[in-house]
Amino acid sequence: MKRYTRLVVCRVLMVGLFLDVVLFQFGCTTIPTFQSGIRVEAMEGLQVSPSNLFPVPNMPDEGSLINVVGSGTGTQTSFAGQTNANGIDDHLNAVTNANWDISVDLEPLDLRCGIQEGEPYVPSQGLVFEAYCLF
Amino acid sequence: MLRNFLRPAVDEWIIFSLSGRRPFEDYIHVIPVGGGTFKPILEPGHDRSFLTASGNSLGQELVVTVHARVGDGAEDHLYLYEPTARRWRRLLELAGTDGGGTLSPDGTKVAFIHATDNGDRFPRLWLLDLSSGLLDRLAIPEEGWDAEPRWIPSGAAIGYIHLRRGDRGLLSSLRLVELNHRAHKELLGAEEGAGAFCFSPDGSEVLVWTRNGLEAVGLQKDERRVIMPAGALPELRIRSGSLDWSRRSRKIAFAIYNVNKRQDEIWTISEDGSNAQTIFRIPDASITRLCFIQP
Repeated sequence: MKRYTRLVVCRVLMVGLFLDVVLFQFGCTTIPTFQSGIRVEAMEGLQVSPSNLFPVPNMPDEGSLINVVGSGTGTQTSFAGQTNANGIDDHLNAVTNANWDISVDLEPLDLRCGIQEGEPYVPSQGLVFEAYCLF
Repeated sequence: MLRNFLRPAVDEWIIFSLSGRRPFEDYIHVIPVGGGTFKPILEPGHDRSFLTASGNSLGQELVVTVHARVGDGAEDHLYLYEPTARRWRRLLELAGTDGGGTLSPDGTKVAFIHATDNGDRFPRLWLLDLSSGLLDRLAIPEEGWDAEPRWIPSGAAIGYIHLRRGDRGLLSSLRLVELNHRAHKELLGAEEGAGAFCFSPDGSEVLVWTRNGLEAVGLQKDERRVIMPAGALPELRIRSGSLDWSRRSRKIAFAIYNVNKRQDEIWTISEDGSNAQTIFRIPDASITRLCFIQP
């Protein structure tokens, strides 16, 4: 009996060690290489030739967390900012694996564009929210 | 390493920016002009990615817009990158955000877009002399903002797009600034809807996406010819900065978003619009800029 117990303990330890190695080795590869969070990108088509797109700087963007789906990255539950010279605004600490309410307010500058709004699911790897004003 | 995988058999490349569907997934890739395997030359890391890159040769300095994490956000700044030595040098120490930059044909100057932190924070056209460090704001003080500088092949002038907001939407004008006397000339007015553009190899024409399609417009003579009519292509969207005309192969390359296929594509065509080929396609990323580059 004693010998049997020792054998079981030994096998459990070996399996545990094996699992540990496997999880450590392969688990690490699932950690995102990139930054996570939310990128807001504002683009607009020209009035005369709508298929020609340009990034839009200085567009106010904001977001608020609706609900968390599971474990993810980040701690920020709301954000507000504006797009930069390249038409993007990153919020890298925004909570991921969650549903968000995001809007980009193109309305003050162009009534036809209005407010580009969405309630996307943001996966753990992060999301680019595209606020495109196209006609 | 760069020289190893860029095989000598390829005599011309297209360098392009590719942005994925999550933050910091911004790569710089190259693909042979004839198509084939595309390869990353700048891959994003944990704290930085790469929004744009341009240059004259892959063996010489590239001008790269680096997107770097700062706190919970990010900043965009221009760098000079030497691929062979893998050396980076910050181009400017100006407070603010840099847009795309482009190296002059002789490699001595950089035309770029910069938005200062003070003032109205809109991007404007600037020029930097790399040897003297002299910085020059080329933009005219006016409403709106500038985008997509491109050098005329002689290096004597820079083309750029000026954007402003009209009563019913975004308006663009295509301009040329001559560096001798800083004179700004309007090549195409707001009614033309000028988007992505580049110059012909001999500098006699500007190639531009307008409301009519892909057009070549004479710089000296008042001549225009439509190379690809707007209706000849599938429903598409064209980002600014995604058009170039090769000095070596004389081919024209452009990137589009194909609405029906829901994918970004790189096309090459001959100077007369024939021999259209799709050399690259990708469904889950955006091609934001491209240009020809020598090995």
